[in-house]
Amino acid sequence: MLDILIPHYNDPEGLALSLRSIARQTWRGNYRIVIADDGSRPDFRRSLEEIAAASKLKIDTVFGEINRGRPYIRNVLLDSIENRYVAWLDAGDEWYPEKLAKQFDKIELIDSACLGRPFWVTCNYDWAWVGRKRKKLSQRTDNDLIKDLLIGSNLRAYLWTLLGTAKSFKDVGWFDERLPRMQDLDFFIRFVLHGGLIRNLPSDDALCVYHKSDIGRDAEEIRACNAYIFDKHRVLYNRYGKAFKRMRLYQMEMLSARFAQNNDDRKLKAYYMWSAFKWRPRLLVNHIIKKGLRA
Amino acid sequence: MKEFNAPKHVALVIRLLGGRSGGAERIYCELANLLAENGYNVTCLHFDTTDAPPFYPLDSKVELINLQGLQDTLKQKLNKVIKNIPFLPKDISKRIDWYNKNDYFISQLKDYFLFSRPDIAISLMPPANTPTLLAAKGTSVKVIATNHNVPKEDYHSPYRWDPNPIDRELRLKALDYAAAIHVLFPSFGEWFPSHLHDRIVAIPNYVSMEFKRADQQRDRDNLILAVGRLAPVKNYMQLLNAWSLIADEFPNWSVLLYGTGPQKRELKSRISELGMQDSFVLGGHRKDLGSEYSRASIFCHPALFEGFGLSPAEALFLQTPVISYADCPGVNQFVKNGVNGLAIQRDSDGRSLANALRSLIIDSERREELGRNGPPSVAEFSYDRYRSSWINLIERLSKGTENGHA
Repeated sequence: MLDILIPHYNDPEGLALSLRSIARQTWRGNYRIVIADDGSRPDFRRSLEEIAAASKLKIDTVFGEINRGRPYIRNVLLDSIENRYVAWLDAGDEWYPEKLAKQFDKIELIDSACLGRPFWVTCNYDWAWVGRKRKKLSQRTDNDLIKDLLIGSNLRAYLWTLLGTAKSFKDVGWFDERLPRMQDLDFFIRFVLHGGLIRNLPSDDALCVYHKSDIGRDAEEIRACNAYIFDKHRVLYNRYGKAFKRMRLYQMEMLSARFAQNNDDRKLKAYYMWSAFKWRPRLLVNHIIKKGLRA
Repeated sequence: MKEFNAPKHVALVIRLLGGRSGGAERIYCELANLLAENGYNVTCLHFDTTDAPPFYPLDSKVELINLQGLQDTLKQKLNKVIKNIPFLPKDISKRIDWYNKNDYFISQLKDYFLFSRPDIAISLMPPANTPTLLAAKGTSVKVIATNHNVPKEDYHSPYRWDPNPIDRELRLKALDYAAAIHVLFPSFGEWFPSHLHDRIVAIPNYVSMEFKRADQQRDRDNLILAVGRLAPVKNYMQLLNAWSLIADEFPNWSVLLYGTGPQKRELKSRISELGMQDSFVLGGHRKDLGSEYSRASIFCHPALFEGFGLSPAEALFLQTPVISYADCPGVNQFVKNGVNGLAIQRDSDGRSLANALRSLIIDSERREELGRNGPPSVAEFSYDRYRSSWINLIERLSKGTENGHA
């Protein structure tokens, strides 16, 4: 009935954590877990094999010989879908026990309403920065979905929050392999452009947790992916006017500055903050007055 | 390892789509669905002030983008100010009007072509053809400009599309940037300037597969059927006048006209005036027309001109003989006098139409004979042929192009 799709790369511990959270689900339907390994180191690959063999869960594994990147491995997973419903989970993130049960209740409700449109059910989640307290974030799905996705604060494009039909994912097409980062955002936008609806649960509770860290993430790569998405969906940004575009470009530079800062690259951080200044000078000055030079 | 290459990307451009139930919108959505079914990555681009969904269903594999801005750009605001300047010369005023209507559409299309780089763009009818062709100029995107009516009407008539003379002038000029110019019949292609002839591609519409399932009625009713939009171009007022001349001779025959449109009230009052409510019936909008074609003895289509006379083609497919005017383009390509119907000379009072109706009403054997010739005469308008023609054209033009994105 359900395929749970997990991409994996060099993180067997994180994978074990994710699998434990699946085992704790209160939902009792049939499911199959597909883990696609993106060319991990041989020792990590062996660990993955041991974890899969030792687990009581029904797990299928796919191994890539070389590291092809996140969008490619997500395409391998998309291609492996066999069941009617699909959920995603990244190795290292966790679902809370009620996640699937509550999302399936919502799916039944939407199915019975016969909207005739593809839909995904998302959920609120906890954002757990390494070394900080968890913070609950809500997914708003009652506004303009495209605008909220482009802004990225009311509705964030995280695949592991979703449950949907296999068709609703497959009809979007493949993940864009030119996006080593943020391919989820592109996929979400394309889903909405394909007539897709995203709905949240009525309950306010967080149903999963994202263990977040900027460490080791390449600020330049993030910046390039953001710029690529901006170009690819340029006509959508244009629709909301010039001020909206400038604000998004400012946010893009500030996000890259944050990644540079959290990876101790001061020069790069300064460069991105200067770029942000060029888009919204007053906003950056206000930011510095309030928060100092912290991106 | 398996590769996940994005399929060829086709962008379909129409100006207005949201909630519109016309024939052009139907063709647009059906073409989008057909291409998606055949493995293309299809994006439908429109330019609507409303975000209402399309009336005709789009496959969930098809992407839909409204390019219309949600707020005026500085340029648009400025144009509005200039437009209000008193005593502004007419030609400048018209130019501003045209830019206000098209400039943002063109700039959005240009951005789409530059950054999304579809392999092919197909624009639907002159209101989308002109902006699409101007936007594609200077990009690598190849545009197929489609025409769904008689070219003379689409390109020269001041009553069709935007009456602004700037628009009429650009409509034809912009075709210079087309990779291909689609028309419905080869004879329509001859109307275009000779330097465009090598780019003309004729792809007629098709008779829907649903009519294959319609039951063929052995004994047909004493019914003259007409189907189309109730608009002056369809000339139903003349059918009514012609019927009034002979109705008394055939008290057990009637005319049934399906369709809605701006002339409905006028037709209704004329029917009352003639006291013919019982024998000339307006049937309104009807979706399942197969059974109606199959039970009618005669199909009458007195239109002035058509792009592609779909309803007479459907009638012929279901073995109903057609009466139409011999000078009606879009119908005279397949209604042949004495073969599958009567293609008659047009007159002003409808007498020739009345005579044609009379001649078929009194001769059931002739009706049957003409009806039998119907299906082979429209056999070329098949879905399979339509699909392969479009795919062949797209493949031919996109040979060697590099695909943009997933």
